[in-house]
Amino acid sequence: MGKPRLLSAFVIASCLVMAACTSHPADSTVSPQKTATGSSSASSSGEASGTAPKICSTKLPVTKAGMLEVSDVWHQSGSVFFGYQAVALDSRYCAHPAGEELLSPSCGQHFPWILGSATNVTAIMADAGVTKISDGTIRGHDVVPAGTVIDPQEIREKVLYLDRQAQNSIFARFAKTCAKPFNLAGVSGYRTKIRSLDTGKDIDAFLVVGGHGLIWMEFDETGWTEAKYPAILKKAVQKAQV
Amino acid sequence: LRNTANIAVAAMVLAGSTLAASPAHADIKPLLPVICHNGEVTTSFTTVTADRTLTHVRYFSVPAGGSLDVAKGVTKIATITASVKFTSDTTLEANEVIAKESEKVGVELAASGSMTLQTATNVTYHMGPGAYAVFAGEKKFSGSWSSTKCTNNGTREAPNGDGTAVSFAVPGDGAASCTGNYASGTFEYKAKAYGC
Repeated sequence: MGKPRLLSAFVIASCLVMAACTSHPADSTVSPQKTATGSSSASSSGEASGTAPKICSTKLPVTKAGMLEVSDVWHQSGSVFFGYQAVALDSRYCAHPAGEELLSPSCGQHFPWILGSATNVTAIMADAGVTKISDGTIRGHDVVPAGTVIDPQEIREKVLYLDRQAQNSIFARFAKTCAKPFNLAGVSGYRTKIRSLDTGKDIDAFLVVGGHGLIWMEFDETGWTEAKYPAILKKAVQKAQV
Repeated sequence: LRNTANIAVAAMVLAGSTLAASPAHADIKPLLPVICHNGEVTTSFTTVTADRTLTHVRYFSVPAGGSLDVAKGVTKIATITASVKFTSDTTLEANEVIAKESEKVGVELAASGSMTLQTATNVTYHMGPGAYAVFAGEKKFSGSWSSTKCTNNGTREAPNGDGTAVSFAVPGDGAASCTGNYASGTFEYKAKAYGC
């Protein structure tokens, strides 16, 4: 007891946005958007006390603020798709894994490469300084000649806002093991390949390490080229202001 | 360390009892190897498929010179309900299974019992002249799972249920042009086929 050890149990790399993992005893701040019934079991110490509920992870009203939009990437797309979600984390009310300390990443897991139960992953991210997580999905396509079959592309974006320097965070440290450094048009961070569940093929994913935040981006579907990435990454950084 | 210690203790107990009994008892059972952490439940998904599913669609036509910024009253056409089916006894709860499914696909999934929006919706997006199938939808993830529980002092992985699970990811809104020729299986293809 008390000695650092690797987390074991279930793995949820990104159970932070939807209520499946963390929860909301009082869901008054939840913007219902497309989900009629939301959540869920209590995360950690989320029980109410007095008038203010003590909640580890709280859904925020749906907004695209700080996130890429379809028109940022595909300027004249004939079709669009977009979805956004965000949560705020309060580490004071997360279930902290007693005596646990994260020593190394689990590169076989999805970003942020953390092995642990859903509750533990939430607590670890909060402990690591994450105060807000925004998720976004956009789909669109470039203009094509009439009659050409259009196969829209998709970008999934996750922005982690930290209360400390991102460069020194566990996420940047893990990226050094699980991904390779990149620098494109002045935007730097780490990149790797992940398997697309849509195409069954490997796709490019980037982790931009900012001052007090990180941006994880997955470029799904076909037709992506290296030449397209710099402007999109730069735009994402500009919008997220991390 | 705790789990490792448990295994070590279990192994020592078994080994100790064998040593103490072996000289006088020829019928003692052979020592079983420790293969897992006693009491640990392991759940995994053997297959998960993702299907882009439309929940709302409505046709809109924007005349030449006009524009539309909010498509109102986009009609519900389907519902996705996050759920777990158990085909055999288990110690697991539904959301533990959903959590494993979420782990498998790497995206956040709705909790068991959650349903997609049951009413018509509005889609806010600037559209110029043209004909559109305006829609809302999400990826529906369906999979088969199975679970085991480590028993007998870590010497046996006993079945702990199996079944199927369905859930859905971040919902989104969209619009597909009725003149576009979209690849099959995409949101846009389905929206055009249904709405245009």
